[in-house]
Amino acid sequence: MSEAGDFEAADALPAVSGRNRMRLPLIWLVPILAAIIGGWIAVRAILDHGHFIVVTFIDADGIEAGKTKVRYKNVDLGDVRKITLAADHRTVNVSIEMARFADPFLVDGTRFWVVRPRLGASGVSGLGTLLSGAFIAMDVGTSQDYVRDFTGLEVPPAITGDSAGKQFVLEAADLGSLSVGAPAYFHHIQVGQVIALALNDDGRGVTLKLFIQSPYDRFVTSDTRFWHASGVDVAVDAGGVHMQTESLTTILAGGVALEAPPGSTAVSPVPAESHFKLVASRESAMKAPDGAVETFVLYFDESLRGLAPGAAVDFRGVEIGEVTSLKVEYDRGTDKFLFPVLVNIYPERVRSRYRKGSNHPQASSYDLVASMIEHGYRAQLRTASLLTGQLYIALDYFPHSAKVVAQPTQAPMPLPTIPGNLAELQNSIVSVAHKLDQFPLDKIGHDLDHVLGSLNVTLASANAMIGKVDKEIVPEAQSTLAQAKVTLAQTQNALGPDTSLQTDLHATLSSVSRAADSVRALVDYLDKHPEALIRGKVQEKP
Amino acid sequence: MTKSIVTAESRGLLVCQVCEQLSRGVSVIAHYCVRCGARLHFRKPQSLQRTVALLIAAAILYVPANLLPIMRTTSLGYDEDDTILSGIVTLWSGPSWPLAILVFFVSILVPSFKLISLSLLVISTQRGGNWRLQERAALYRAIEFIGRWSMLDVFVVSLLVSLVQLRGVASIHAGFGAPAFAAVVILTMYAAQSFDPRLMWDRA
Repeated sequence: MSEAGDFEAADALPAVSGRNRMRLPLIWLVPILAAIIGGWIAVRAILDHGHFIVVTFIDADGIEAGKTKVRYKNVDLGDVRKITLAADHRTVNVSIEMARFADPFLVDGTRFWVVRPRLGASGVSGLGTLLSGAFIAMDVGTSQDYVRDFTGLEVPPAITGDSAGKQFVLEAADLGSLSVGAPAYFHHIQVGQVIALALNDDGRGVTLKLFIQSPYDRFVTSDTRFWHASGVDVAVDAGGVHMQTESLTTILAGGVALEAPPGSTAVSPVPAESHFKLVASRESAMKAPDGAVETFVLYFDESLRGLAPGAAVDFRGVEIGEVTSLKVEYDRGTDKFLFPVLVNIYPERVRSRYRKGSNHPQASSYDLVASMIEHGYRAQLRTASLLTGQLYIALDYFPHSAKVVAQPTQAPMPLPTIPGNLAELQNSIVSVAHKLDQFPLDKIGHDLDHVLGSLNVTLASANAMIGKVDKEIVPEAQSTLAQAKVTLAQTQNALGPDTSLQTDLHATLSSVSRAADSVRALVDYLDKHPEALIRGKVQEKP
Repeated sequence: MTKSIVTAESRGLLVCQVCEQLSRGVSVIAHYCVRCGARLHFRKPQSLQRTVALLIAAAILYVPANLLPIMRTTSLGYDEDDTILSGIVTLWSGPSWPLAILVFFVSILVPSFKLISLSLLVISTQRGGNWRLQERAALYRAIEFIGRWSMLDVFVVSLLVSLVQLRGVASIHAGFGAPAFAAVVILTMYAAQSFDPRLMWDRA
């Protein structure tokens, strides 16, 4: 300021007055505000920081650190932070930072699996991940124990914890074409699916877990039957060809169908985890339960080709049992081969009025069969199909069959047999053939030869005779015929319309007619005047 | 202070930054231009204090600007967050490495360079002395010059957000990092502006 006067023009310049001004360091509000914002962001980041969990997978296919999300019901709950190999190099450990609000979900029983595009027989899933990349899905468990280490599933679970319904256990002899996820149908409506399957410990049969969604689970009663709905069921019967299938999916992937048999009275739902049997077909599922089994042995004298274990044993068309085995026995005593056929008969299928209707101590059905045998109850092999030559065993009464003594005490009880239709036919053909064989065809031939020779001679003489007739009789006959022709012509002339004979006949007939008229007039007159006969005709007065 | 240098202040003269009117200041308190009414200062008021305050605010926001995602790309239901650095990494690993260098320069180097240089200028001016005065002046000019370039990233994000809105297929949203980064750039620009380089020379 001291040098102000040194500036020559300074005095000419206008002087400006100053004003005192509050010098509030308002500018410091800016860093304070920035600090507040930064602090808030930092606090939020710390608060949002959830727990780290480790999920173990077989491989890390599709999982990327920093990119792959963990989702539950499509809500992002966490991010994959790190993927490391497990110490034993068999699995990978995926470290996931979960959102803080996901803490209650990290309990024992929570499951994780990688959602990738999957193409299965029952459909396509996870298509969305084709472009966006895989994500890890989770299903929250119900436990209260918090855990931090999980084992990831390799395949998505068929059902998640939030789906309502019931699980049932099915025991099957064979898995068929079923797989996890195979649908279950109730009246053709998909009501659930197979969620697990395992071979039984003894290696015989398989056990399946079937999940039936609510509200369909209440239709599963103690009476419900389960059967394989896999593929196409083609049946040929008298009504034509029937094709039965549950859905296109079951043709490809198999499925389970369930239904109560018609007339079922059970209505109360069974509890979850109830055990059921899974049978091969609807037909066998709907069959009445077989109950007790009684075994009989049949000895047939004819060939058993076409009879196989499983062949039906029927009683007038109703299947009451099946063939279980065919054997060959050699009887040293008689030096003969025997072909015992073992059959199972299900007496439950033969409702016995006698047994149900009285308090009579239950007679063994073997005794009952013994009395039936007395009345001609026999087994017979019959052809089920002429095309395939399959046989079945028919049971029926043959009152005229030879008497057989029943042996109800023997085990298995023998059931007498009679030759089957085909065998009978065969036998008669054989006997006819045999008789035909006995026929003296040679001698007949020789005689026939002889007869034919004499016949030849006869025919030759006949021929000669005919020649004679030709030569002698025919010309005579010809002249006779000519004369006859002439005679006929003459007759024709005589009888012609303008001949004299005709004219004369006509005139004669007219005279006769007139004569008849006169006679009638005379008769009339005589009728009126009978006295005229005596007196003569009275002249009428004019 | 070298007395041989004649400054406008030493002569009690004020020049109006708006209408170029030269005035004579009579006191150290606020002056107003007689012609256009603009405020006149011998030196920018509270220059160092303001610069420091703005620098601190910028430094605070610099952290979230670089750590938080500046944009969130959603394509087919899959979200991807990009911070400035991860964007550069993506560009670098792709074919557009020149772009990566540009973005790295304007978005990482320039703001940090401004923060550091301005702090350096403020500290050195506060302490006084004539240490590398010429270089410090050049540095200040450089800061003023490159300041606006830093907004490139913000412009890119705002453009993408408005352009890439393919519903369902892909969309881009601005993340928290974008406003923070914009604030850093703006705050550093104001800081550079409120710094009065004449103070360096006054206190030399």
